[in-house]
Amino acid sequence: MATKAKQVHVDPICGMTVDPERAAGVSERDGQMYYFCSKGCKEKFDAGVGTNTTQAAHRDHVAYQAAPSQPQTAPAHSEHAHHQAEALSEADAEEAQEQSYRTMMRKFWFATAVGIPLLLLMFAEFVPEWRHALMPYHRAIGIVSAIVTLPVLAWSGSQFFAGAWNGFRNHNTNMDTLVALGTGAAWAYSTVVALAPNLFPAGTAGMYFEVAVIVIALILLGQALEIRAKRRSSAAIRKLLELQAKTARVIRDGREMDVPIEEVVVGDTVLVRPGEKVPVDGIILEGESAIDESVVTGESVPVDKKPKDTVIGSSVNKTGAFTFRATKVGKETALARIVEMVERAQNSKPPIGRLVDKISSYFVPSVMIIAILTFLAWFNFGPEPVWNYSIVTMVSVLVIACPCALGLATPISLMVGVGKAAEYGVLIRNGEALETASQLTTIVLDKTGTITKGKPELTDVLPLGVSDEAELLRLAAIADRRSEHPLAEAIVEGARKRGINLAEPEDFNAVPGHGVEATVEGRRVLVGNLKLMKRENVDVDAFEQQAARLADEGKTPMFVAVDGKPAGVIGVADTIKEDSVAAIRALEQMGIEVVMITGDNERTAKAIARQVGITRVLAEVLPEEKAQQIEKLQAESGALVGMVGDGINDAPALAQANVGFAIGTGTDVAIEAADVTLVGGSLWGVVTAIETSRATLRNIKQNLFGAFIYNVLGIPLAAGALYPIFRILLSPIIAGAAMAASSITVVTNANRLRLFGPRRVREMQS
Amino acid sequence: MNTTNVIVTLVGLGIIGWIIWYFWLWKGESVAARSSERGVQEIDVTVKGGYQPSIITAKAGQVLRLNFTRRESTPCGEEVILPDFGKRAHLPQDRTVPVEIRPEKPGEYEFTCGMNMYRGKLIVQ
Repeated sequence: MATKAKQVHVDPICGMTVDPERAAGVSERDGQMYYFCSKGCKEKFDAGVGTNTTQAAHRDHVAYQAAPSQPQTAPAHSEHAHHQAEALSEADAEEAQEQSYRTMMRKFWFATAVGIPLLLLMFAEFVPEWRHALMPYHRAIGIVSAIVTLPVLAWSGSQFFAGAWNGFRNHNTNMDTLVALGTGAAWAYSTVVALAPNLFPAGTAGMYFEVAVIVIALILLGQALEIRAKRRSSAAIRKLLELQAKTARVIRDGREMDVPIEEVVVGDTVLVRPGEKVPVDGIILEGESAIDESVVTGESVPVDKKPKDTVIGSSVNKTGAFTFRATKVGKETALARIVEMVERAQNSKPPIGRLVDKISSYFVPSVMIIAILTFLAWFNFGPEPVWNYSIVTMVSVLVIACPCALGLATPISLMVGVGKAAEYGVLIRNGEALETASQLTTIVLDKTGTITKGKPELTDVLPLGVSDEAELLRLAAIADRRSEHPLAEAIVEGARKRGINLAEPEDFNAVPGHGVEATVEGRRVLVGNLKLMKRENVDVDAFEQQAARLADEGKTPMFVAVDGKPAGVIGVADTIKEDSVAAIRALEQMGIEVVMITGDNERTAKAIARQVGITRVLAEVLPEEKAQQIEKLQAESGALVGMVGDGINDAPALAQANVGFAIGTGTDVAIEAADVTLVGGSLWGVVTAIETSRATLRNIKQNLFGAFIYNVLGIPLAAGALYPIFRILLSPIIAGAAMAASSITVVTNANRLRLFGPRRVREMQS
Repeated sequence: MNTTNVIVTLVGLGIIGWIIWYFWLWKGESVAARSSERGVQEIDVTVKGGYQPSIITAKAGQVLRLNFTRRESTPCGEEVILPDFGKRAHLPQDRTVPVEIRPEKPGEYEFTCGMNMYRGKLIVQ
């Protein structure tokens, strides 16, 4: 633990993490030790300089206090230290962003204040009388302009020039290169004209100081707005973490106490009252309640919980109070893992972005070459005054080109889209999974646990002859009471739900593979399959009609005999999830073929398929054959197949599919297995995943198309392609404005995705 | 075409040739990450108009810690992304931000800024 805590020491001057053993210097202030990465940092600190002192000190403090104070909670504490450190660096990042936003806005206003009078002067030149009046002062105005615009370039535009220079030294180009070259060329040319007008034929040289200044202002404004918009697009996922409870009420040594959530350790007993948030993941010990798990699952309907059920940290306890044993804390909780997974996905790259990567690496030098060619074309073939035209068009080309729009197009949409999907309980592993999910043509659904609840339930009670329904169920349930077989449990549970009081059987015997025999109130009761009935010489013909009907409906018939005589048939079936039918219909409406795959016999499989509206059924498929079946489907006219399963025994099929969807519930998220994890148990998750993927990909394509078209049309336009026919030439100011607008447009379009609501939500609202 | 035109054109074409050579054909030198005693490879990367060094070699199967320090105010390099490892880090100016990855397979991996303008390459052997 000590080493872990050690890693969090932060140099209060530069913010570097420092290993105390290797620190270049140590200082003490207010009883607190500070470690430095270099002598320079220590000197600055000792001299009282240093912007990060408070934050770093706080971080160090946390790290220091962590290990020794409370040995039994050391892991949580040290985790706490890390969390704290992370939370702070997040805050730091936000503060830094806010700071650069404010600086940019100040630079923008300064450039605007200088640029507007110059712009007015330029307009004045268009009015003949004013132009005439200003003529004698033309040169003086030029020299004054050169002087007043220099601070704009030096301060407002400093980041562009510095960025361009730094890039240049690295044999690298970037957006700054273009802006710096464009505005620099405009200013330098104008200054030469102002200082030495004799170099040019009389009346042919213009000055473009306002261009340099206004372009800088516009691009600064664009970047500032972009910072704001980008922050919005990454907000969704951060919102999830803000939903965590801050404290937990734990019971230690019989005493209730409120502790910060970071100090809850695995094994703690935690008390949650109605209206409170569940602080960490765990298993209910006592009490019952309805819990709103929408933060993790996206399901808005509260889930009923009783002892032994799992609870998820950050879900909201609605009705009752309960205690639970903490099983996962800190970074291990379902929510923390979800956030981590979503962030990884947001930072991955979908295949569609790869071409763009290639293009953008050649982009800036290409634009520089085009700008020079433009200059040469105008210089050699353009009308008089050639210097003016050549310079203006070259500057326009440099400032209109926007590599940022291209570079941003894919990642920004992906970030919003993946975050959006997570909001609805759909976790997409990476950009590639998202892109493939949007193109799926076939979805294969595992039957048990995916379409159905995966847990048998009592469906029919069909008495024969003398006994009535309730009596038949009562006898069967009492006989089954001690059995652990899922079918027996379904009968007992079904009887309880119907309010039947169950006594203990007097005698009980489980016959493996057959059923049970028991003595209930002096009568001998048999509950089991046909084999049991035959073994006990019960007349099975009496059951035939009902049994056949149940089988046709996909249910399992359980036969009941009392004192050797047929008493009735009880139907047990794995029931269909409430929303499976609607979700499957939605998939088909989206043009996706839905196939059911199951190990069950064909009769049962077809019965279920009929009920949910699936026509294509692959029945009697052994678990190990599922992957082969997926392969066969993929071979059919190159179908892109998605497989939906519970993520454990379906793992090979999930891996074989183009996109594997794991249905997990809450804490059992099978995060490792699949490309897409549906946190809620509903099939609607598949619909939402595909819808979100399609919407995101559409958005990426719009962005890419927009950015490509913008550059492909904008650059020739700026170069003066329209001039030979229409005599239209783009002003460099308009070019600069267009460039600033283009990257804002991309970010704004991506943010539009935040308004996306999946079909299910839309249906619920309407 | 008069003399001025010829000179200007030649100069222009010369600059184009120089751009191609300087920005495209120039190959940077690679720097190997140093190994620390606990089996962690480490390298300091300065972000200033690009990544210095921009080509890094490292061994497969070991944790690699890239200590990024952004030494410029332009926001271009404020984010670094390692798409193959699903990592993104915000780089406040003049702070060192360590990014840890574990490259398992030999190969070439890129790291770029948020807008894909600064580019670096990680060669895993």
